Amino acid sequence: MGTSISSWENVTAYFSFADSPMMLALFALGCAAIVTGLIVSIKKHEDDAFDDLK
Amino acid sequence: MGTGIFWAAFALFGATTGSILSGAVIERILVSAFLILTVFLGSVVWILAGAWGWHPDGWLLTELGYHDVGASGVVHAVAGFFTLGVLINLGARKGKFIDGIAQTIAPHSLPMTLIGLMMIIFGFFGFLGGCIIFNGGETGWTTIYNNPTNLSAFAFNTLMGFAGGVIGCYIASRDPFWTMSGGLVGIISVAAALDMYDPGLAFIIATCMGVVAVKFAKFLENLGIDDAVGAVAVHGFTGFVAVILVGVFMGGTPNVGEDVPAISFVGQLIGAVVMAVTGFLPGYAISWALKKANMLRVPEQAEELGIDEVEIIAKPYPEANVPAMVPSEVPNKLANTEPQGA
Repeated sequence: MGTSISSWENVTAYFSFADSPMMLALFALGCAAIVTGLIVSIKKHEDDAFDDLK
Repeated sequence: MGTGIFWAAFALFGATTGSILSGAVIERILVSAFLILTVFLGSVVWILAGAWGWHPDGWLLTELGYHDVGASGVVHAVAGFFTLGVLINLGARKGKFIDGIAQTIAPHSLPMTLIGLMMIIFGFFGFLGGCIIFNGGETGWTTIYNNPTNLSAFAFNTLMGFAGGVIGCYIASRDPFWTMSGGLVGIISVAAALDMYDPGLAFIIATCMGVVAVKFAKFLENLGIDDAVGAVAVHGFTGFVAVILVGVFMGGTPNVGEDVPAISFVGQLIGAVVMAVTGFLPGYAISWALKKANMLRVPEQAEELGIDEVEIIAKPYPEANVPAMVPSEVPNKLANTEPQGA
């Protein structure tokens, strides 16, 4: 039950979809995709900004 | 349960509702009108919402299984929609709309606005952590609904909300103020179920809500509503959707207590609508009455001169008169004295 960080002072909390490793893996992949998308987005914004100077 | 910390947290919630209103109405509301509105919001309106959605006997909980541990609905949606009601009667700042087109009114100091937002976000950790109850013994930490939780769940999901919200608002706006406001959007978007969301899910929800909140702010502006800090989008709209999302992702989760229904999509949807209406109606009605009594907005001339100059008789932003780029008379000691590139 729970993800890797799920207890504090001997009290266990429960998380959504904690009994579904597939969903947790999908959430983790989603997070990675967001961070990757952020980097791509920033790179695109930089290129556009600097292209405007030309 | 009735600890001093708990009382202080509730008092702070009341003050928070007023602070949500304060940013949106700046530069044209009478201070007296703002105080009337904020006293009513902080001591009556949100108390109603809190009683319905947080108290063990509150009808939203006992009838619908309403779940909103971090006050996305009972504080943020209520105060955000109260603000919307006020803004409709208050009108836009002078110069905000020219020929119907929304203009950008820059803050006096962008760094100061960002520092302020960072302080709010920092405070959120203690604020939300103060919302859970330590019972001692075997029971340990519980939420206001008596279901088990812990500090790490609240702290971790608050952090994930902040991170996702910043990313979402940055992608949607590319604007420093909105990017930092995204931290608030993200935290509010997951606050309703801080005790339950998987941190990864919280991050994804916050990112998506960061994008959507910016779109909603633009939508409001296109309607001619001048919300100086985006409070309606950040608090009202985000809090409203956050309550509904609990029903989407946590529907079917049982509540603690006999005869208390499980969390459901319909229950959360009704709860969100109740919060929005509970906030909007009194905000609109009181500000309408103040407007009719000519007690809502500062005189036009005072607005042009600035309220600081006329009412406060202070000059708080002297740096605004200093150009951003001024040649210094102090020589650059690190610079080469010989012509370069010869």
